[in-house]
Amino acid sequence: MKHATGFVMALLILAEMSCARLPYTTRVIADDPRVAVMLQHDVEPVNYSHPLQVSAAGIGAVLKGVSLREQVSLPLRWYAEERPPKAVFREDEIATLAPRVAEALAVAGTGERVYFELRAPGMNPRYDQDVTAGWMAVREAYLYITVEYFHAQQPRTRSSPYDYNYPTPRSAPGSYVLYFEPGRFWVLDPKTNRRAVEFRAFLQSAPGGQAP
Amino acid sequence: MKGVVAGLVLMLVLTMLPSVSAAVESGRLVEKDGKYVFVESQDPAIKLLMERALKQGVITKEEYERTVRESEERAYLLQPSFKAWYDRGFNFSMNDNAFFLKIRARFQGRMTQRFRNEAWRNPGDAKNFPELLGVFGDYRANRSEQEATTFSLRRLRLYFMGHLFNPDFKYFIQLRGETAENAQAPGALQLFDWNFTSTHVPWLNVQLGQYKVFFNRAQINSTASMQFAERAMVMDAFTANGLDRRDVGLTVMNDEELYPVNYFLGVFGGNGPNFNRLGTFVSEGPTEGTAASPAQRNINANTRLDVDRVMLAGRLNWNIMGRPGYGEGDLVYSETPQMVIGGGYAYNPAINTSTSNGGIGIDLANLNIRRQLATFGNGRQLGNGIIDYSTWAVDAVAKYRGWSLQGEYYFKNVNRHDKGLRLGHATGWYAQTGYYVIPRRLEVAARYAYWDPDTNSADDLIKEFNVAASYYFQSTYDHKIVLEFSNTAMGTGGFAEGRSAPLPAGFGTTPLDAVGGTLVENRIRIQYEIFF
Repeated sequence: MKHATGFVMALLILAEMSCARLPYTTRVIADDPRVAVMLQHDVEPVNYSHPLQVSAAGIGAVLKGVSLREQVSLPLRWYAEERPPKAVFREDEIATLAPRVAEALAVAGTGERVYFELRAPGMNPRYDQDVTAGWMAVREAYLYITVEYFHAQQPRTRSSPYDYNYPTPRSAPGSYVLYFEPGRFWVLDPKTNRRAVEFRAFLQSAPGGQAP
Repeated sequence: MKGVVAGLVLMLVLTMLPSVSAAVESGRLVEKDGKYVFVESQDPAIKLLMERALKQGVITKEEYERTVRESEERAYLLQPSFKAWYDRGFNFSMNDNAFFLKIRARFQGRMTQRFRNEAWRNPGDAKNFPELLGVFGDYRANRSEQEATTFSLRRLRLYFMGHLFNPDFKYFIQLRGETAENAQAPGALQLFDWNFTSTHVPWLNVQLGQYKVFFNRAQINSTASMQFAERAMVMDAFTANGLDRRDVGLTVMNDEELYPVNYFLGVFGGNGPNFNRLGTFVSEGPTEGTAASPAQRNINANTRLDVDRVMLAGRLNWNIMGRPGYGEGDLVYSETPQMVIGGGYAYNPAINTSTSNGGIGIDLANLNIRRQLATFGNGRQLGNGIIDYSTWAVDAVAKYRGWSLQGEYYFKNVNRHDKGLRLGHATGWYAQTGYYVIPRRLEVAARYAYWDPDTNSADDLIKEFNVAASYYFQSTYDHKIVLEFSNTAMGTGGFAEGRSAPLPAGFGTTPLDAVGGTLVENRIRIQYEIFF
């Protein structure tokens, strides 16, 4: 009985502790075989400047300037070949993604971020997909962008279609070093100490000077 | 048996259904520097020149189209007809996806430190997990001194899986090369699973071959996706066939990814893996001896009885909320509450646990069957003649934001053909909960398990308590380290044929359980696992 009592107590304590510690979806803006965009409640207390009107063209211009390099963990980093950064988004991906991100930013709340996911057929097209995913958010003049997966092969099903009932959760997000061109707009937000695109200044600097 | 034949015919028909094939395009999507780009099969420069030549009237439209077509065919023929890549295993596939092979391997290395009480010295365990010695499988009590430190390769697995013809005809092969913790001989490579699955019809998937019976949640779940280093003993004791979690047979079921309510109906040999019913027999007793020729056991016959019987197993699963799946714990950090309830029933008739002469030393029932019973903790059922197993299991799971709760209740009707013997039924349950202290990385879990192996006996309960902390290196079940503490208390009371008084004539008067007591063990396990 001592064991049973302890077990029940542990159960209750754990149930109490079950509060959100990772971002969770609050609203789905788009979800189809090509792209998913959704609002996520951010668990970090950042007061974003949403809702925000930004044109799809403006978002597209920002996305076009983002590139990345995979961050190799130590000690392999010492021996890793230095590779030039790769552009994160192709033209067709930007055309698909930008309008939906703009739509999402227009309805997001101050505690929400915009999660995006670009999907393509995977190497085993029936059961895998090629995923590029991350999230964006805006605080004042700063547009944060994070890439969690870059053309990562991820399973489409919850469990393996071959090793029956063996769960196939997504692997942990990858670690990437992001860049933005032109580099003068890739700045440190002094309040959050995070890298961000100074997007208003960037858009105004574009030929013709787009308003956000 | 008609059902088995019908199932086989249906499966054959399904595999012969024509698959939808995609039209050949003039290019293909290729991965280049981490990006997928569509590459034309014709050189762009030649294409430009051809288009200009057509425009200027140097070539006719027919010549242009013929050349483009031939160019595409050439490019298509010159490209490799296969692709190979690494993703949760080595993958090899033909370009048309008509054949896919994934090769994986799994390693579980473990260090165990045990602390046992004096009762393990005497009487030890002669009833639930007895050791069967020699070719005749004589009973031995499992006794040991108080402390033990062991290093073992608990699970070493090699997998070959994929599909043939099209993605709806799947195969799965698993080999194991491990040695059980208390094995008396090194293990050898052994076939664990070999099965084919047709998923052509989503509501009527068919699986044929050797695999884990869809019956008991804890057994359906892979040992790679557990919250603890090992299953609780009670989980192993209540398998569908009463012998092992695997069997040879056929199951029809629907697609769990698509339907919230899932059914599984199976028919099996009922004698465990790599074995069939013709291997079991009723053995005649020793030849009657004379003064000139003493009794001997090798001049007699083995008679196959009840060899037309099969095991039937069914399971129903209702995903009330979401899709919790079978993996333990909420590794994916479910954003919405997940809940499932399920249950199974299995009937496995005519398992011969001993010959009619019943006692130790002369018990010539099939040793494979007897060893399976002893390995899974059903040693009390040994020596009870022919038994029909009728087993029930109900289970429930809830998960939410890194927290999980899982429980299962079992009951096994042990119907003896020889009603004169004393064995009762068996029952048990477990409940376990876990919480990810660091979401998707670090989980702590606790489990309590209760097992009454013989409802007719007193002082035979088995109680187990485990706590574990697991760290998942890549937020998947594939790579982790587990630290587990366990406390088990195993009653030695009750009657076990050939081990408790009264013993069969000629086998002395001191039974193995002459000294009673409860076997207590405290155990620490550290286990590293990688599935690649």
